[in-house]
Amino acid sequence: MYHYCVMQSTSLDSWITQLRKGLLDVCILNVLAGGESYGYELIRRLREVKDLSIGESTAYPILHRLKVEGYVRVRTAASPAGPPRRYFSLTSQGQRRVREMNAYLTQLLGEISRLGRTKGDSRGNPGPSAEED
Amino acid sequence: MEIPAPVQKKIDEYLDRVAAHLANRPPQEARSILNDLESQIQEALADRAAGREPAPEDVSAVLAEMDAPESFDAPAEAPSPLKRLGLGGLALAISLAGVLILTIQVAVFGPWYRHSPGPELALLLPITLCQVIAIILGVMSWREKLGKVAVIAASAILLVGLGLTS
Repeated sequence: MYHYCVMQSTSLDSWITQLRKGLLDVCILNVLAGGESYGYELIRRLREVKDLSIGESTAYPILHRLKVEGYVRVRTAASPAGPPRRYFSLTSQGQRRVREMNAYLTQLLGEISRLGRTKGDSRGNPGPSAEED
Repeated sequence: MEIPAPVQKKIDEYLDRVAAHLANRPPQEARSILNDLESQIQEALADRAAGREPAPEDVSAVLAEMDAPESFDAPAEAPSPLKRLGLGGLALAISLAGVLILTIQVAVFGPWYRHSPGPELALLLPITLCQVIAIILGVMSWREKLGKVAVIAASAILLVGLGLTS
């Protein structure tokens, strides 16, 4: 029984890890959709999403890749705190990409949530109960 | 903001350790990540020190909140067999496959070819096609050692074939 629970928990963790990986790009692009941002500020914003567990080792390589792919641009400007700040912002291609990603996510989540409702609603019963699982 | 030497030393130590874990990434990406990290550390330090000169304890606290240097390791990705082979390797493989096909054709269908009219075309078409494709791919991957080998090998096979048939 214990072994079964550990297996269940491990597979859930692995599923969550995969899901997070897939969402990192869209999270970073969404922060930048609100306006340009520099690294420290960007990381702080991303850390507000507690379940995302995103840090520097994940965010900066992704930012670099998004820059290479043409979705993000970088400009350097003086900072009162120390070395020049590197400001990240979306290119027009990046703005288009984040709109497409958000639209797709909304549509997908809507369709997934409808999956559980359809059977019960169409037959006038609430569907399978929790005990049956 | 003026950074005292002991504080800067701690920052440099952290960046050096991160750099060691970025060694497998392209140099431009590694440099970009290190620049972003240094900038982030300075910003966080200025935030924490709030106008006073930052102390070594401040930088320790800032670094403790950041990802460990080990977490900057590039994710290990096993290259696909085709990637490992490269375009030059693929060209050479196609060239050798042509020779193998010819050998099999002769071994299996040899007697039949001897008694039927026009066996040359059926025998020579696959190997010729393979060598032509190998030469094209070899030229495309001329910078690779295997690309050059493929072009030379395929050309030699074609020339020998032409010599034998004429």
